[in-house]
Amino acid sequence: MSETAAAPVRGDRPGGRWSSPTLLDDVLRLAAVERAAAHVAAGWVVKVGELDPKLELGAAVEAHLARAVALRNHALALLERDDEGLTARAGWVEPLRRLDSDGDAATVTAALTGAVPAFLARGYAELGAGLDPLYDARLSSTVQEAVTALAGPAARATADPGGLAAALAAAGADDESPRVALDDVAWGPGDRVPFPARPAGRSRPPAGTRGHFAWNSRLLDGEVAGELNDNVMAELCAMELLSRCSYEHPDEAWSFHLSLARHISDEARHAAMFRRLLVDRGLDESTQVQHGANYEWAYEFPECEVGGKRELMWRILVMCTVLEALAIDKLPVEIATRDWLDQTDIARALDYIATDELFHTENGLRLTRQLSERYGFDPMLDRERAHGRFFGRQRDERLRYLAEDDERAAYEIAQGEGPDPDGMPFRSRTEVELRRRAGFTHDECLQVDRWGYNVPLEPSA
Amino acid sequence: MSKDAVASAYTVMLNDEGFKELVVEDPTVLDPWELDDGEKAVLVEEAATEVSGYSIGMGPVMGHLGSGPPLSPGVASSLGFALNRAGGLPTGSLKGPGLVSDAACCPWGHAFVGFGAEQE
Repeated sequence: MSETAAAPVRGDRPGGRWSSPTLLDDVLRLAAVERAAAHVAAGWVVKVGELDPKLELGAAVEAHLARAVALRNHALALLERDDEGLTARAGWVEPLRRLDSDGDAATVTAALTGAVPAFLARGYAELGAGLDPLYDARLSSTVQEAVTALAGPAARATADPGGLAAALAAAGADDESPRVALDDVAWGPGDRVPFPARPAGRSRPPAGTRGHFAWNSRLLDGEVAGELNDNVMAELCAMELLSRCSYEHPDEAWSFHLSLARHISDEARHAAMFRRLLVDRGLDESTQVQHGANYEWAYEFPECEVGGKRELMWRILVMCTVLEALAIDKLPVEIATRDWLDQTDIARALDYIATDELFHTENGLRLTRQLSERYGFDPMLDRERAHGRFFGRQRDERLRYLAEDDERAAYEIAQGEGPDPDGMPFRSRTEVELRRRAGFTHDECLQVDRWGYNVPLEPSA
Repeated sequence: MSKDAVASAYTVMLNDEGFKELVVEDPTVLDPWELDDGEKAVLVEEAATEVSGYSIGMGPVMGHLGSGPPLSPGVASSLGFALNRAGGLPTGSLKGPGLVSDAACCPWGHAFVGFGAEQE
């Protein structure tokens, strides 16, 4: 615009520049609280033992973060793409920071499944009431979706434990604390959690035991229960590890956290699917064992600085590009087995899960390539090394367990080397086509093929 | 390309203890690789360093390789394999009596239970 006179300041317009004088700050404040709530949930998923609230927190990570990202985008639009204007007052999220540092599993769970959604629901409702349905149509849509999503949890919030909602409301009036970049509103980790919490009263088998082993026919209830329960444990471990990847690295971009959050909520849903299969089959999960195997093996590595970026890289490499990727090869066998045994309920659940594995792998490949570019890692080399350490630690503990009791070891070895109890005729292969669709390079397919988990590829592959 | 050459020479050193000793005694054994003087010095320094266990792969060569473009896929995979082998770590799926496990995170195998058991 060329000027022949000083343009009026738009913000000084009667009624403000936008539909309400405080619209931008209202959006930024809600975005900051959503981001902080996602951060607290990601940090605490692993520290909550009981499974219902644990899975609820896992799902909440994505819900909060997705709304935070949407609000951030709306704010950026109002700022005419000037990301320097994306700021928040540190005080707005201070009550959540205190909850994270001072709370326990019960208070954090109550807050994140009740008081915080109730506070947010009121905030969105107040924001929506001041919007122009035409000018603010896109923001209105986001607000309406949030109001609908938060209505259920908010309705459960009959109390405000610790006065969190009240503190958040008071913090919202803060106009004195320093403004920080919105992207930096989450704080650094307050702890390390090498062992995940599990439900009280459920036994843990000794270290070195196999989480589950099909000693008998897969058709027997005891085997089905053991299998499904161990699958729940595995899904929990993935959800928890990736949650900590987000929580312990708040400096990464919001897009990074959102990618992790989608995977996290998928794992929460997968665990819920296996738990539903247990219930549908009349199997009591409370009598089953519990453990945190994959989380513990992949949480830290002696080669990686504690809390550093290589540790983050190795965690994601192991979880997303080794284990989840091997599921691409192995799930066709599992699904065929369950269909073959007329366990169609399990087969159908696995079919749904298999579709998610492609995303989880693609996501992990993309994130680790981004980390490699930023921090100088090498996905092929680091994957090879992380794979060796992850399984090396398990091997060492397993060998210690076997050496501890010769009779027990002989029995387990004999069982493990016996014929498949159901005569299952299927074997896995490296699913090159599926892996390529998920983003694996041909060299990466050859890398996993060499590890020997599958029938080797033909030399021409 | 030169980074690949350093990694390839280091891979041979990891796979062959005798070659590693030769590098210290007579660095001209590195001549088949196209290395500049600085790269040769890093490899000689590595060869002269006693390493074992966790410290394998934490020496000067890996520091040198830790910046710039990634290695060629085959070179990277071979180097990782050699580092694991030298460190006594698995180079593939676990095999052997009582060891069969796929440690899956999703429903296709089962991990060995970890140390959390001792925390209860």
